[in-house]
Amino acid sequence: MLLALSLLALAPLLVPPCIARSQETYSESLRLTPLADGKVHSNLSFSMAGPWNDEQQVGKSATAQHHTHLPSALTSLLTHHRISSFHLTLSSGRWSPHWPTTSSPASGIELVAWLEPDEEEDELAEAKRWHEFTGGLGGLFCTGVTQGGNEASRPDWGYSYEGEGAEGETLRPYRLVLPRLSATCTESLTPFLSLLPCSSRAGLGALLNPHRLFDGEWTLLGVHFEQKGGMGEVRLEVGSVQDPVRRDRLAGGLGRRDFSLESLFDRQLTVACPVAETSTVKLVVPRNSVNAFEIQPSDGRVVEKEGELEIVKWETKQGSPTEPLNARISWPTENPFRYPHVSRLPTPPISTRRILLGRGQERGHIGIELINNGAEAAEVLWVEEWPWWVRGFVGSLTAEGASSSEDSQPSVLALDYTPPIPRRRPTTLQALLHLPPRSTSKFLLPYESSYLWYTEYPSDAHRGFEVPGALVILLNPASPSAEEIDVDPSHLLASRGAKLRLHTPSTLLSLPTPDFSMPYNVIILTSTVVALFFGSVCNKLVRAWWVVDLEAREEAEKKEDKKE
Amino acid sequence: MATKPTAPTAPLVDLPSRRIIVFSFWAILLLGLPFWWYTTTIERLALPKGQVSGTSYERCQLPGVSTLAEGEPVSDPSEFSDLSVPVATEQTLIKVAKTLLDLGSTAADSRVAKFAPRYKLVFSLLNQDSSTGAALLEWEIQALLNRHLRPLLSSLAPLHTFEIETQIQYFAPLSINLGKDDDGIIIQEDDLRAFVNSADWNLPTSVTLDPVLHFMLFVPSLENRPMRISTSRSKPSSNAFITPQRGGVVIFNPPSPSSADEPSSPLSLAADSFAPSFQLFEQQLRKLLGVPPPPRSARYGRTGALEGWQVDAMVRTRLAEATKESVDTLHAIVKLVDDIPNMRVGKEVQRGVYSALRELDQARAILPTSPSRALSHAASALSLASKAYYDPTMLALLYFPDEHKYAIYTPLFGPVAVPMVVALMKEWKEWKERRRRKKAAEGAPRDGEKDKVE
Amino acid sequence: MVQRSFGCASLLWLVALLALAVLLPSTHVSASSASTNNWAVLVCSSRFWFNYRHMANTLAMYRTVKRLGIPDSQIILMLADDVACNPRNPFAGTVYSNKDRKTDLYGEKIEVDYKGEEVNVETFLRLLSGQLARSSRFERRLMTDSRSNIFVYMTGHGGDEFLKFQDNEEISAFDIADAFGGMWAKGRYNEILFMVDTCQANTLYSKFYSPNIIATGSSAKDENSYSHHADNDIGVAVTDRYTHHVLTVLETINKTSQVTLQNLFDTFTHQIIGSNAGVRSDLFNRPLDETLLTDFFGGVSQVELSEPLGFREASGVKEEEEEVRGAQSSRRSEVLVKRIGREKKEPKGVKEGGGGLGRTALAGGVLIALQVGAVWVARSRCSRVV
Repeated sequence: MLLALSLLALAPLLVPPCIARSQETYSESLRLTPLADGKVHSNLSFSMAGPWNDEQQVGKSATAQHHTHLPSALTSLLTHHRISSFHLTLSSGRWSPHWPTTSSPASGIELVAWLEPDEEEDELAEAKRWHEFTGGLGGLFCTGVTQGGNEASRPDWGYSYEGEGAEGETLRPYRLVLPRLSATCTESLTPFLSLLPCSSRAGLGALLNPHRLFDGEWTLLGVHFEQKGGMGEVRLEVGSVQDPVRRDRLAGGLGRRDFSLESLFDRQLTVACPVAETSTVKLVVPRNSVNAFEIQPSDGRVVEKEGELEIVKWETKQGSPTEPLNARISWPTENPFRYPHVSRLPTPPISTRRILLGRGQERGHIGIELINNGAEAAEVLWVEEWPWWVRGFVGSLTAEGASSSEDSQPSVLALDYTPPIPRRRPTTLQALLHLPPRSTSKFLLPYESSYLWYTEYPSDAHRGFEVPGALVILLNPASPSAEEIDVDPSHLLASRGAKLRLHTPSTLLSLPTPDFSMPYNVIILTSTVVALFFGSVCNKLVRAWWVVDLEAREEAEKKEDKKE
Repeated sequence: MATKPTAPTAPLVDLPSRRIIVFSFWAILLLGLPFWWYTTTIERLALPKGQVSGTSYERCQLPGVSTLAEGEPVSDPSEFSDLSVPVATEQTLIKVAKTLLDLGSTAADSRVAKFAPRYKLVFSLLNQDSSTGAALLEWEIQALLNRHLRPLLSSLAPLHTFEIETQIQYFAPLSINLGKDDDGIIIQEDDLRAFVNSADWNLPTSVTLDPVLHFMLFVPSLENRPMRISTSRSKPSSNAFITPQRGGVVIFNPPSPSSADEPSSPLSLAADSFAPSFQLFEQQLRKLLGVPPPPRSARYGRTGALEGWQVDAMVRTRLAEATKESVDTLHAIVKLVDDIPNMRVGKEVQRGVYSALRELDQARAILPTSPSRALSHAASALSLASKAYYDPTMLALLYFPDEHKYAIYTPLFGPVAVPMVVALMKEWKEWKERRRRKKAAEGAPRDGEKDKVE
Repeated sequence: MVQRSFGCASLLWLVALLALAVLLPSTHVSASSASTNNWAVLVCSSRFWFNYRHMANTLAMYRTVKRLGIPDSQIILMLADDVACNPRNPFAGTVYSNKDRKTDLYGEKIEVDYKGEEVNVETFLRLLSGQLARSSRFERRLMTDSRSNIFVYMTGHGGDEFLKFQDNEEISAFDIADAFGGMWAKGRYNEILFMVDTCQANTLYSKFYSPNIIATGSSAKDENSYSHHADNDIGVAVTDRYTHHVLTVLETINKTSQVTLQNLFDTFTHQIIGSNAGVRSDLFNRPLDETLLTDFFGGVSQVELSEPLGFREASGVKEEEEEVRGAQSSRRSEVLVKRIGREKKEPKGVKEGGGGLGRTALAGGVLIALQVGAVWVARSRCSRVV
């Protein structure tokens, strides 16, 4: 008994000295979706989480922040500017409406952030903090963000704060959109890779081959940060849509849509990331595929169900350096791949398109077209941000519809319009729209474009100016039990949730562009006018003309001569 | 005879109104000149040049420890009671006092980082290749910092504040060639210059412009252990080196895993294993911050909190450095503004210069009572002066050749000037002529009749 | 008599010896430049797809400079347009400066500090003078000090004393000269190597006035610079002759090379470059044949070993300094010995700087003249006396 007691007493010593385990976690995953038109959508997601805002003291003159997985380049920027949450997406290419998605990103560079509120700070200081944050983040990712000290657009209808905390209700987002047509390239991928714990040397980061990523139909680089329950989570994602059929044809084949990890990325998963908790490769099993297909490797895989989809999952750690995991799918009986008819491609619940009407460069109509493919009426949030030189006349906003049923017309249920302040604030339009079932609706408003100052024109002014795309959010249907209370439209997204988020691509708008030799013309014109008219006017006022009688004068002179 | 024309035969414009017209043209031109001048000049606010040139480093010279020549017997030890030097011998005292007086010499020490009131210290644990096994994936960094660096950092409170960041990297490849000998892997001393592979190691920079000092604990990969630096001299090697003004590196060879564990599993080491490395870091930090080393014969330790006289010496050195630099910067601002007439001097620059001068005055005033407060004033003077020096608005206008100026103004002012000058000259001639006639008329009033006809 | 003549002769001998001592080329080697860090500013100022070769030139310089040791944090790369991910590029994500397409210049690790619309005259001048907006990120600033050597490379379309930026504005030679002058006044550089590849490039550096600048351009006034060759698959010219030639020379050196600037400039011929490449060295205080390419292109950083724990340091500050200084001077004397040895090995006349030869000739001539004079005076005097 004594022995037992003494053992019990000594038991704690038998436990090895416990070392404070780092509480930060890292996990990565790759999701491959074969699309109905033969293309492949691959989405890599790297997620790092750890305790947030846990600065510790080292003596009275030093504070310390410790990180193992969370990238310090990003965390120092976030803590310095006190950011609650942000989403940065860089995307180039065009997301086809026939590819299934719940959320497509904005075309170009989009940054949405929520700043931690500070009572001692006024609006101007907060805007300055936002401006410095965009500069710092843009510099980190080599995006070439050139935003003057403008007021930001703050569309709170379209973006709801996903973090926690009471301030979440009152925090309004800051949004910056740079609608570049080609926003991603290797110089954005390099700092992106340096944020990953294993960078491009191990784990799924090794698949990030810029020569393949930027050779596709569509590329996305995304950085997201959220805080939940004292933990901060940084999630990096890389999305890419590639075309195995084109690659096969370039290599001399007839065009097969078979693909594997190696054929997509030209890389192998030879080294596993030692700090990744989970590192999985998922392949979405194609539904409605006419021909039979095979998914390999068959050992070590797990089949899961996700809603209506079936997903095959592998752990990358099961591979070895000599036989790396190479998930692949092939259609053995299909040679070549036949592009399906458009009517057989999946259609989304709603689709949208940007419309620009008018002639000449000074004025026109700008808006969107919404097609509701569903059998029920839909409520859609429409968020627009136009540069200050697009001056819309929101009083003339029109909603036209061509629907199969005669009784319902599209309508604007709520509207929030922030007019532009020239050179300081862009236009923000937020609207709640009602779309009748199976209809095509057009929402347009007339606009006038401004003349810019001579120095504000970019170098290739005749190419046009890019206008950001529209954001269209299909809201989940309101629960029938909800009472008919007037819900503030800015809370609709938070309460009902988004079923689908779409962006239209950026468009180019031509502005009246002057002849840049005008300053010299002005100088010459002014000088000519002055030369011609000033002298004449001055002389006319000052000089007098009178007639000199030459004969009389001669006579007078002769008289004088005679006298003398 | 032909019919005489009915045109006027004498000037219609009467004299006074013609004069008024000419002079009003000129008046408008002269009134407009100041407007033109004002709108085409560059804003150049006045800088207090007199004050700046009057402020020189000598005037800011600090009253150091009063005269103590070498060899002089120490008459009154109580003079130095406030230095808290445990005086073991006279020699120690003299050496200490010389350190305090040696304000200029440490300025030439190129290892010491430039003075800033706030430093960022980054401690990184770099694994060369954690996938080959036996890598260090974590460390008890907070405990290590508390044990080894807190005393030093706390005693430097009057001088600096520190922001510490720590990180772990799992893949930090080397770009130099490694040699091999019987004891393990060696690195030549010459290759150390390229050891820090900034291309592949993610060394963070600061969000603000505070200087960053990096302290890297490098853990070689399993096949490269043990790794050491081979020195050419007979000095024993400590497997550590500093890059002047930038930071320090310690190469840490973890103990080989015991036979019970798997050879490739990650290691977890207690904080004590890192103690020697962190003591080396502390030494390196002392060198980089310019801590004066204690005399050889001093009995107190070389690690841990600093002695009062060390902090005092550092305060004085940094005070001298900050003052000198701010004075130099102010002189340079004035010189730059004088040298480039095309440069705009805005309100921010003017305000910065005035504030910097004010801070320097405050530093000088408060020096006898509290050198560390004087240091903070000098530090803010330095930051204000350099902000003014690098102010984004102080940019010279682009080159605009004089020929362009003539080409623009001549076609405008030429056609304006010619008729006006000619009119003025005519007026003047007319006035002279009239005066002559008047005088002649006064002389011969009766003969004037005939002249009127002309 | 004879004594007096000897006195005159010996006086003249003395004068001759003194002259010799003064005029002979001193074997003193210009001390290795006092620079502690190297920076590079690489600017491509033209946009549009058909100026692919300018982007390729700049990127090739970037790769070379990185290979020779300058870290990314000390390179400022400004590209006015994006050709790698341009939809017109058949090889996405790549930039080649040779039609064999062996080396991808864009690679997988690149940091472009300024791109697109940000590359303009104002930003460039602000970068040089350090007057960027306060919120500008650390990596995009030129944080040089008075001991930095800077390599400035500019390429694009240019003309007589100007360089075109982005096809809608221009920077004049006076602006660049003033920027460098301001940098010198602020102590922002130790030495600058200015290289420019445009039409009439030599005129761009004609207005410099601050010291320690060595400049080289690809063509003289009223001359064009030509492209080297085109890649038919990409459809545009991929490199320029001058830059292609400079890169060929730089390919052969590594971090420890002893090749000098004079060696590089000696390889400029009209046949290779297609125009009269120029060099301006009057503002540079070291002779070109003693200035290594790695003084500008290599990454230099000093290190100092730490003593092990428990090792008693030398007491006092001064003694430590002397030790460090002693170490430095011993290292410098090692370098001196190496260099003098090398000079002696090289046969004269092949790669010797022109200055040295001239000086020797002058000294020899003076010596001979003095000798003859001494003999003549002695003879005439003595004969007269006699």
